[in-house]
Amino acid sequence: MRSTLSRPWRWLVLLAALALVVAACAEDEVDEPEDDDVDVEEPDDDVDDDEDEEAAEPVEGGTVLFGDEQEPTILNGFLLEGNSLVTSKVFNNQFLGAHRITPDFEYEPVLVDGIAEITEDPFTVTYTIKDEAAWSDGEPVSPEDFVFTWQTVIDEDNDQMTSREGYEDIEDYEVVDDQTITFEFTQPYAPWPLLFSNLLPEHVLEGEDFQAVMNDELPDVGSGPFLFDSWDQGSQLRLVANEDYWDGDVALDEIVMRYVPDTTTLTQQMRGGEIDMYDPQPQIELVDQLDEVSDRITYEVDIGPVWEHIDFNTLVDGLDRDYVRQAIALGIDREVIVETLINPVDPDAVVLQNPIYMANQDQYEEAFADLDHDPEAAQALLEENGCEQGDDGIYECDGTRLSFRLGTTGGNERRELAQQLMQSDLADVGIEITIENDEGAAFFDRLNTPEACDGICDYDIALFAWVGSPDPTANRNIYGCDFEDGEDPEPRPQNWTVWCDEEASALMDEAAQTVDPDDQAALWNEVAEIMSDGVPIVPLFQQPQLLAWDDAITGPQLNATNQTQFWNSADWAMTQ
Amino acid sequence: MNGDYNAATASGRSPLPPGEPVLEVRDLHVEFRTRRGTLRAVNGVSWSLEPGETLAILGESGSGKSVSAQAIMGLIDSPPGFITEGEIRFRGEDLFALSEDRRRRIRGDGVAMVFQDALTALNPVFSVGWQIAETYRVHRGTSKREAYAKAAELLDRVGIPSAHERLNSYPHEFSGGMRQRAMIAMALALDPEVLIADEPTTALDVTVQAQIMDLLTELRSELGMGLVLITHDLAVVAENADRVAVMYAGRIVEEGTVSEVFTEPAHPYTLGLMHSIPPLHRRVAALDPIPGTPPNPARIPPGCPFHPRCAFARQHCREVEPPLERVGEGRASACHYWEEVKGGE
Amino acid sequence: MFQYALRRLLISIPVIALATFIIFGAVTITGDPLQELRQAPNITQEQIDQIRESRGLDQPFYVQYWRWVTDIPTEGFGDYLISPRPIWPDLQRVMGNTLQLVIAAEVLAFVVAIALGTISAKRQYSVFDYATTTISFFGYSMPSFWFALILQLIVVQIFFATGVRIFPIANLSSADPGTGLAFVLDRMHHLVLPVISLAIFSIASYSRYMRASMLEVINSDYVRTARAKGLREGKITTRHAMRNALIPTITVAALSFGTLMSGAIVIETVFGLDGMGRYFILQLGRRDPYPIMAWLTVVAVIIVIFNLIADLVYGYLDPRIRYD
Repeated sequence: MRSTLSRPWRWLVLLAALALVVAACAEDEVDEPEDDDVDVEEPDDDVDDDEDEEAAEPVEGGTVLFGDEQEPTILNGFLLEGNSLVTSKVFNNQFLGAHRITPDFEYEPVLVDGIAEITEDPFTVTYTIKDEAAWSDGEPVSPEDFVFTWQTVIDEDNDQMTSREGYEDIEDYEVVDDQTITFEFTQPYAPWPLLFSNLLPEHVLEGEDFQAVMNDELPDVGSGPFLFDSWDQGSQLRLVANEDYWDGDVALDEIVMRYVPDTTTLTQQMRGGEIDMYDPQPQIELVDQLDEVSDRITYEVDIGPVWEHIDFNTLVDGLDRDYVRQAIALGIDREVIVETLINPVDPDAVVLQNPIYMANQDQYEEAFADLDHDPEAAQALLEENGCEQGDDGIYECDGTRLSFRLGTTGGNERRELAQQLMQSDLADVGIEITIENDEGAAFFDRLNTPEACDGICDYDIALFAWVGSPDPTANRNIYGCDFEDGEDPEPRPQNWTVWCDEEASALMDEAAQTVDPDDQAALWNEVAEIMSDGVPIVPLFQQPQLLAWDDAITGPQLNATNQTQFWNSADWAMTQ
Repeated sequence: MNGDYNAATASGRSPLPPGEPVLEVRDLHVEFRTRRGTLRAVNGVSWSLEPGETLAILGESGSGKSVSAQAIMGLIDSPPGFITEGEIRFRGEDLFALSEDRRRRIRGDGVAMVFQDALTALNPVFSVGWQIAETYRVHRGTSKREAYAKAAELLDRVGIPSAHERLNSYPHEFSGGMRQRAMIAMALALDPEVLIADEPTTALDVTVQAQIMDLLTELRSELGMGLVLITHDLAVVAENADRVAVMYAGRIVEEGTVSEVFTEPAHPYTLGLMHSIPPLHRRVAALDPIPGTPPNPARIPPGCPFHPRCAFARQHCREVEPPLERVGEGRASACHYWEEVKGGE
Repeated sequence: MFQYALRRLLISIPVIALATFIIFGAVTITGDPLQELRQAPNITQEQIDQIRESRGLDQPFYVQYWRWVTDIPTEGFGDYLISPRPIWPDLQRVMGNTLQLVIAAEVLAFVVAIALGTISAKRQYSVFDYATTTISFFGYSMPSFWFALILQLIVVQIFFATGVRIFPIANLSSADPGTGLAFVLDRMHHLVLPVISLAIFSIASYSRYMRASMLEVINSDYVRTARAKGLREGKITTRHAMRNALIPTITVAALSFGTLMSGAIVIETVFGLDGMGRYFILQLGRRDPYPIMAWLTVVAVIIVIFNLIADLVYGYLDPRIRYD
């Protein structure tokens, strides 16, 4: 029989139902004690083991599941679509190169016996291949492989090649003996250590269509500790250990890349033990979540090669004046930005004071330190140059009101917070900032050279990031201009600020031809000094990078360079 | 009676002792409890039905006639409806004393019902043949083929042409009259002893009406079943019923043979009904309705429920509810002053 | 009936064509698919111009559209913009996965909703009814990704407490799923959470329809007749009532299939499933119009087919509907 509930009971039932539901979705109270003091990794190169664990013995065998947000488009690291960190994670495991980049931004010889030798005039590079270096099928690594790699890169038919820079400067080579080859260049190429970072096997790839053969799979021959096994596109990619690895024994059996495009899910998978390693973009909550399971998971944080900065469109009225840009730089408190946004994740992060070198590089000099937060100096600078503060507190300089748009990629919480901090800082100084954001690709659509924009590009101040390289030569295209007598300077393809300084450009060109690392560094730091006066950009900070792994694994070490986290995968092993 | 007819059915089917009514309602009270109050739809209704006779329950909408029929069939939704008092006896057995399962078995088998609007009363997604056959299959467990054959026979019997082909037709593919016949066929599938027809012709036009009523009467004699005809149509009552019970405000106010009640009404309400019929042979300037409207079942007047509209009403009527009294051979009336009513006019 | 279906299919073709035309226009006009390329520091203007020309990107968009449309019969959906790889194999692969997810969710939602709706209707105003009403509104209002996250959290918490991982919280299969039956079971194991997350909204929605529909039917004259015929209450519910109450519910379910497809986009992202939704997001980020067009066309076709199925099922269930 049916029954009708009287009024008060109905309300109770509704409330009870609601309460049940709310309880189910309440923030998960973690029963474990907060291990705040233990295991927040210091950003050193050393791996801190859990204090309460004995150093466990590595064992043979095991599979590591590596969770990744992004998946390679194609596997060929040389081609445009493979020009990404994601592809490198796979590609670099199988195809080693002459050198590799360590977490310190240093070059280390891999296939070659010591760093390659160079001569200056003519500019030559000589590679001496290690005797034991061999491909997994037994074939020794040979000069032919070097030649083949070079020829593949400069082959005109390979129009998808990412870049021929450097390789196209090679005009001749000489095979000195079975282990040695010398390349001769038409002109000095400063970033030469970056050449041949992946060596291709001539005996396997000769005759293949290079732009197709390594798209969906890699050949079963490689020089690295792991070889490609299978790729379940959209789901996972499997690497198996190179049984015949020339440089020792690979402890693991397999590494399986598991692709999940959501960082929150990946973090849950780490916590739940569904994956063993991952390298997400570290946000504060993410780090907290990992701290909660610090008895099972270790992670390492360090500042990486991706660095954030604001760029000025120097063609915009107001921003065309040095003193305005300097005032803005002085007006923003970069230290507070780093403290608020970065230190919670990486306590050792600092303000980046150099647009050319990263804070963890040896060559780093604090060129922009004179632009540290000084609002009084900013205002003094403006007033010196004839600016007057209006009734609304905003300065006006020769009829131009200092009001600018600050844009970045919308939806990125950290960037939006940074904008707000800067906006408030500059309001105090007397400069008005309006925030105008766009979704990712649309934002980058606005940044370009006037030629491409057909006029002044539609942005005032832009907040975004570059990926730094151990070699600064690529900066020529970003800060340099071509000066021809009697004509206006032409900004180079990526010089979106349109800042043209003749001296700086000349120095950059000179540096591109300077192979001595110390001389090179001196030249570039000079450029940095000039930039700190011209202020086309203001560097802010380097984005922290994080690598987390299950304690059952030993060996992983954070490497935030293009070498990827797999740079030392040969040394990884399971314990117990 | 139907020849090949299974003796072992739920309702027993042994012949009734003579004189025993096949269906008897005793002092039935049905009320509906809603938030707005209690509606007393049926207030002490009693009547009986002899085998083979046609009893008409005559009344306006809201008089409780349909509700009392539904109470017999067990179709009252409870809540909000409740049968608070009374007995319903089928073949002498009190239905309320039986288990729900036994009651269910009597439905359709012993007592069947036909409804007013066959279009909504038949399930639109099943064919007519299927629906008729279902009755057989559920109650008698016959095979599909046999049940369909029986269905065809029935359709034929109720006068549907090309009965066999029409087995697969859907209700909406029939005309109004044909549909009603189909529903009658379905109701008669198991040779019920009582057929309750709730306004069977109201939704049909006059010529079809006559056909349907003829059919019902025919089948009644052929099958020897009792027919309860619920209607508000005086003409239908006059032409087809043997006896009539007039209902008003959930009560029976008069009862008797049709000819007696209609020629010499013994209740002011019946009298008023008769008067309101326009005469066939002379013109009248205006119709002569009963003044006022029937009472709201939630607020039935004290005393005689008809008193506010009654020409014969006195103080006594306002205070005391008149019981249904025997006023002659097989006649009853619920009026204090029935002699006046009957005698006068 | 067959003729009707055929006619409907034929009419769908211009509808799909119009849809693709509009979408193609919108996609090509608003985005520059070579944007990513232009960003890369080592690409020369020459290379970019070459790609533009070879793909006809310098043509007005209706010319580009015509090119694309005429390519479909001969080359399937063509190649990606930047690299010459065919689109269709990728689309096929992801389509299969998404259909698994979406069909399972639809079936689950349908079955549960029918049960809930029917019981709620039969026990109107009972505790059960109120509870399901409240939970339905909740399920209808909360976004599906929220449920997804909650389910994941719950599973992880259970793992913390007991060490047992009851369901995987991401991916379509485990690293070594085996073959045959083992593979199928593993896949089903992985799809449990995503299917539930995706189905919740539909359960809430369909059960409301079922309940309302069932209430109407229960109070109908023909159910009263069925009772008068002496049928058992259970039979009346399942046969007479449900058959009628299902009609609007099935229609809603079939027409909502498109919603499930779009909900799948979010669910696939959260659970890392290699499906059409994830594929779409990926290609959208690249501004490559060709896979986006292919995707939209496929989805449009799927939706048209399901609308047609809805009509046919509706016609089958309700004989009052006649197709001429």
